Amino acid sequence: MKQKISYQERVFQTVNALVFLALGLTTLLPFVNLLAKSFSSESAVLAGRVGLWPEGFQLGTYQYVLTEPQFRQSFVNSILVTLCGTALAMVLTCMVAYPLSRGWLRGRRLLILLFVFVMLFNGGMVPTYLLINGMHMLNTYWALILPSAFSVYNMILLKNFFEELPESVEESARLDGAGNMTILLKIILPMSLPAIATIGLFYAVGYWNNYMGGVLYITDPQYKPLQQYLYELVTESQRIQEGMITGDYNMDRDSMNATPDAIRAATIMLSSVPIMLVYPFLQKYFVKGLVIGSVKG
Amino acid sequence: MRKMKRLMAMLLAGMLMMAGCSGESGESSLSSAGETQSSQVSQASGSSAESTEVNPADAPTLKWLSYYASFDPNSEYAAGLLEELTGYKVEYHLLPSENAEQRLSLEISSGNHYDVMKLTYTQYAMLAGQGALLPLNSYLDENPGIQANTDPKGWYTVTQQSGDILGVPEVGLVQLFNALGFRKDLFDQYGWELPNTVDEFYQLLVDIKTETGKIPLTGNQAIQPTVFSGFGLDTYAFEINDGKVQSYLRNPGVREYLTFMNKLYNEGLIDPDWPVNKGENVDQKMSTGDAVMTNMSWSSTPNWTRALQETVPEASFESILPLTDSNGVKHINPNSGTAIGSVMCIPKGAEENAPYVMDMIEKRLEKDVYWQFNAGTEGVHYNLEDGVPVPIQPKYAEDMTNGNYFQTSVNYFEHPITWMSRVAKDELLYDAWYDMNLKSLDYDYIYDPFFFSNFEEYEKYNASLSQKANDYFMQVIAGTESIDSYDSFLESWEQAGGLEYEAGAQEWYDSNPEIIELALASEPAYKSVFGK
Repeated sequence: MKQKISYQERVFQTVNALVFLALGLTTLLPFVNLLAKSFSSESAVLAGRVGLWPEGFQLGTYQYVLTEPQFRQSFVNSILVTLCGTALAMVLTCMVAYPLSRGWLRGRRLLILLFVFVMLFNGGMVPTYLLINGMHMLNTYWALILPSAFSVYNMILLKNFFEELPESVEESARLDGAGNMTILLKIILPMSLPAIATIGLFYAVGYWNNYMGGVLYITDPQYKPLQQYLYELVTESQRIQEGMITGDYNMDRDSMNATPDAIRAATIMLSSVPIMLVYPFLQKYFVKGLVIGSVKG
Repeated sequence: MRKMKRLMAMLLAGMLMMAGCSGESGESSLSSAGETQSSQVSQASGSSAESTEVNPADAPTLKWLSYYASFDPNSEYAAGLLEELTGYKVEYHLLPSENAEQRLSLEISSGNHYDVMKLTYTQYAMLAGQGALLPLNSYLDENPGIQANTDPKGWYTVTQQSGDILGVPEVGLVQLFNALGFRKDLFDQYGWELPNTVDEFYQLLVDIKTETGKIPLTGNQAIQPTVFSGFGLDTYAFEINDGKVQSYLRNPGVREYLTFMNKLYNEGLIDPDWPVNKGENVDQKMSTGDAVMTNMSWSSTPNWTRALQETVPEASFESILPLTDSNGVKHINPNSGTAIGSVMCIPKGAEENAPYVMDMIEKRLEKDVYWQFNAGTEGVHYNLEDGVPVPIQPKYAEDMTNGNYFQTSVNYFEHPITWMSRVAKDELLYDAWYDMNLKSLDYDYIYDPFFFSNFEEYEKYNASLSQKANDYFMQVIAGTESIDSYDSFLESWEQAGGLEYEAGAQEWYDSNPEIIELALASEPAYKSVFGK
């Protein structure tokens, strides 16, 4: 039997759907516009003729970006940092979250308190720079990986998830003679895939989007991460565009190297694609994982 | 269990690989710490600049830090070429584009070692103010080629009151970068005359509006230089009347200018979006043909022309010089912003390698070397046509695009010519540049006596006061403020630091007569080149 939906309910549902559709489109459309620009001729972009469909279709922008040495170097850097960083971060996070989720650990409350303390209070930018400098990690991949290799917030999420797993499974494994490491790797982790996938994605996106690491710790362009390259490309060409009219200094030189809009768009597209490719594979875990730790008991 | 071991082994291997990748630079920062120590020792013994013979073969790899660049200088053609030509191996490091000053401070204060730095003027001024830079006077005596090949004017900016010279300045070319650009094809088609005076200009705008319905003039600046000139104004911060320095805001011409612009705005003769336009809106209106004129830089002309020619094949742009004021003067103002492009300097603590650095700077200024990394090799990268180095593509674009990054200063004698290769790489670009700069040579340029000024109040107040004036101008142009409020605006400007700003300028003006004389005696860089 079909349930009767009241008029008000229907109106609400329709308005609701429209509002969410509009919200969805506001995030999607700029992206589509950028995609269209990246395939359009520079003249069409300059004249503002490109909407959601490319005008004067061309692939030269992609060819240009893909042969740009600094783009390629930065791209490789970011892939490397993201892969290694995420792997390292997951190992660290699991190794900490598991014991902290077990009631038998002595001093557990104190340890958690200490972790939460460093989550709320940290040294700040300059002392962290001095630390990285003191450890001779400036201009190394480590400077991009280590500072964000462990997030207390993610660790607590994972710990809460571990706590919800039925203890009886662990007990039976222990009766069969399994040690802590075996239990973590063979019992806990396989049961926690949604949480692992979600937190892994948090880390991966964090590493991929890391921009301050490059600004703070890198002067050798060989190690410049992609997001820094991208950010600088976009802001510099905007600065030049404004400067051409106001006559900012060094303009006679810079303006001739201004990056045309279509190339900028192609660079942005190429920089977002790798991390977007990860989402479909993790989608099924992701929805489940998003609510981890929300229901206790 | 075995699986786990394998996993751990893989992780470990991964980390080791990364350690391997980064080992090199880890080592170099270790050794640079050592260098800092040893250089402090040599500073103590005070014998750093005594040796006269400098052999590049003895020099270590020089560590160079510069402002932002979008490319990796280490892998540029010019980097390899210069190593070969000068004998110095240089390792290039870049500051980020954002927060560059903070990063530079961190680098210097935490004792990171660099042998030489190529900085923007702002970055240089910050370090000079902190006393972090090495005086170069004795080195400049050892390497006379540096001062001999560079513009004498720039040196005043980097000389402290104590007489210490803290950097090697890079002085831009005296040339025109912007002028009022107009659609040549439309002017031909409708038979409009080029305007000379404010009245003619007004009539032209009316004609364009009535005959085409297009926007006669678009833009987004509070000060439209072409019109500004018609009211007897220069686009400089200060004016000098009988030795008294005062802000241009005190010139009665400013009120007339604002009243005129407001009239244009009210009558729809300038872009109704003027106060809210951004650079890209102006670009768009010019390249779709919606607008007929705007303040144009020659570097944007090729893009606009190409975009427009897709719909209007005969479209082209030319430029108009500033309007003539009531005294018959055209106020042609070469862009003061190009005065000091960058400064090469050496941080304190890097004395040990300073002789090598200065030798490297000098060698890069030598004529042959300078040509080779700025324009390339004749027959390979360019051909000389009527004295102009015309690029051979695609070789020039591949190798030379970023060549100018490697300049240690501007070779005053060669730069005007080598630089032309940068505009000659695109015919439309060259035409636009040539048109603007050649036309203007028929008139006397008016130079800013403060081109090379260097006083505290400027750094402190210039940005905020300019912004204040800019905001007010825009409000008057758009009619949200009446011109009657000008006196009260001026008063609030004075209170916001305007008086100190003027006083600082006056003091600098009074104490630097030579540099003012030199600045006022500047010559357009292309006067001799084009035989005018």
